[in-house]
Amino acid sequence: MPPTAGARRSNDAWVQALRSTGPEATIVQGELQALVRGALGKALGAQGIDDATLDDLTQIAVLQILQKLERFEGRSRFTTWAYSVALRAALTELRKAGVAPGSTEDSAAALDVEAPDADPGRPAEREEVVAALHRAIEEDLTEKQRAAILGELSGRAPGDLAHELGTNRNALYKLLFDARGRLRDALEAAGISDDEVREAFGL
Amino acid sequence: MKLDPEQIKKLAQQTLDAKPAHVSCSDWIHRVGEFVEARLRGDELSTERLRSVWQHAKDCPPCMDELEALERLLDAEG
Repeated sequence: MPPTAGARRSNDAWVQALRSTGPEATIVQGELQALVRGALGKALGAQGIDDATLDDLTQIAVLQILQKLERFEGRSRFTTWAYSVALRAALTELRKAGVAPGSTEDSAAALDVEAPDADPGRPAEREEVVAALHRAIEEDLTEKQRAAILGELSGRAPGDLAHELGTNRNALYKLLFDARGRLRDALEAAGISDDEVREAFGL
Repeated sequence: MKLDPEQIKKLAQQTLDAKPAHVSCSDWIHRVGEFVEARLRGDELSTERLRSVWQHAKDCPPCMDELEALERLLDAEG
């Protein structure tokens, strides 16, 4: 990709210009769009996407970049950060392609969390961990993460569960990964150690 | 849905298996650029922040795809 004025702009100049309004913002957004289109064309060229699709993906990607601008911390070149956001946006769209849309909200709403039946013989530690996990499922997970976690626990096949959530296997994997991380963070925040969890469940 | 004791036990195990220094996919995407630039420069990936990027990608195939695509792109740009 040949260097452009945009590619040579400093990180601060990029951010300030994209935050501005008026003609300057329009010009800089145009430069960003050209850079992103070129980058996506190069990165996704092997996937044989046509120009119209590339245009659509570029629009989606630029919108994501502008929406996430506040997350740019200046730890890399601005263009590198923008490319990473653009690739995430474009690859997410491509992953979705061909997957029949499902009613995510309906699927998630159909699932609920109830405390398990009381077990008189259960040690107090186990009660504490169970309560913390339930609290975390209800309070720390997004609706979609909750649906993914509960669906997986109920033994749904990954393909079926992904379809019910209106997503695909890769995205389901991400949901589960993030959700389990949040649950772990929640247990740590509740002061429950790994050893306590192992002892509580005999793991 | 009602979680039975076996499901709770399975969830506890899955939670234990999750990485303690957790980086979510949504946070990870804002770090991967820094990681790839450092790797292409040949820098030692000595900080916990950078190591966490690689650790996450190893456990998350979609993010690894994105890391590799970004690396190929930046490498081609020189």
